Amino acid sequence: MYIPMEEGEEIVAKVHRHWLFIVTRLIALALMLAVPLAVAALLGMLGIVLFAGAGSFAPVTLWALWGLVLWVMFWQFWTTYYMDIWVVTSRRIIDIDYQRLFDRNIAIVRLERVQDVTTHVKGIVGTLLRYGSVVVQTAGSEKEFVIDQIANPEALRDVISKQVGATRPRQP
Amino acid sequence: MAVNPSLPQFGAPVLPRIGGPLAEFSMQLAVSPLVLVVLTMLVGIFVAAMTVMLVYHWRRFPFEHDVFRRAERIYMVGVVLLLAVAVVGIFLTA
Repeated sequence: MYIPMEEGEEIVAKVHRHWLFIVTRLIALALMLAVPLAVAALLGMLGIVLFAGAGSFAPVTLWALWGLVLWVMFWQFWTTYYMDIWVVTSRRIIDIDYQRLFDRNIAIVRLERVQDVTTHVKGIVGTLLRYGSVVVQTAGSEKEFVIDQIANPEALRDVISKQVGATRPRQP
Repeated sequence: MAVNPSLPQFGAPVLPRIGGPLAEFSMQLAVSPLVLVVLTMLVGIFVAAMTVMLVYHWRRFPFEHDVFRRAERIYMVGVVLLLAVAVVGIFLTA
């Protein structure tokens, strides 16, 4: 992936999705890591011994391998989470949208084309954890540019508005 | 040691049952080191393929180079540690 910066273009803000969306997956992976231990403990309490004798260290290996698979899965989740990024520069808004490792969309909007910037914060969780979306109205054929599920959308709206104002020539 | 054919076989003789509230349903598995080696190799192939894909993406991403370099280091440490634990487990089982 190659997104060249223009001459004199500076990065003003980089925004990722809200941390809630990686934490939920992290909790799911932690539960998956704990499930074999819980099952083994439960079976042990019921008097059903799974491993014994010479193979008594086998669970250590099996659990480490399971942990390894989950470790790799975590980093795959984190990569798609962290590479889902919006970059506001002094001239453009760059949206890199990762669905999966080999499934991405890149959209670039020039600040001159931005007409209006609005924010949406939905629901109790969104209000409490302060995440929502920023909708950028543009003059092009694609009328809306949505920056979704980000932390503190109002701050990003202010940054974009300020940059849009800076790119436009002042009225005499 | 006598092998009970009614119990699952995983490459090594099945150990005798022990008592307990669900003794009738108890199951003991004696996993041979060979099975563990094969499993470790399969997981290793999966991890190697995923590592190549992840590192490929991290190194080619146009922003946040420092974060991805740090992530690569942490990821590798985790992989090596967990693989080491798995291998030690195999040696102790053998």
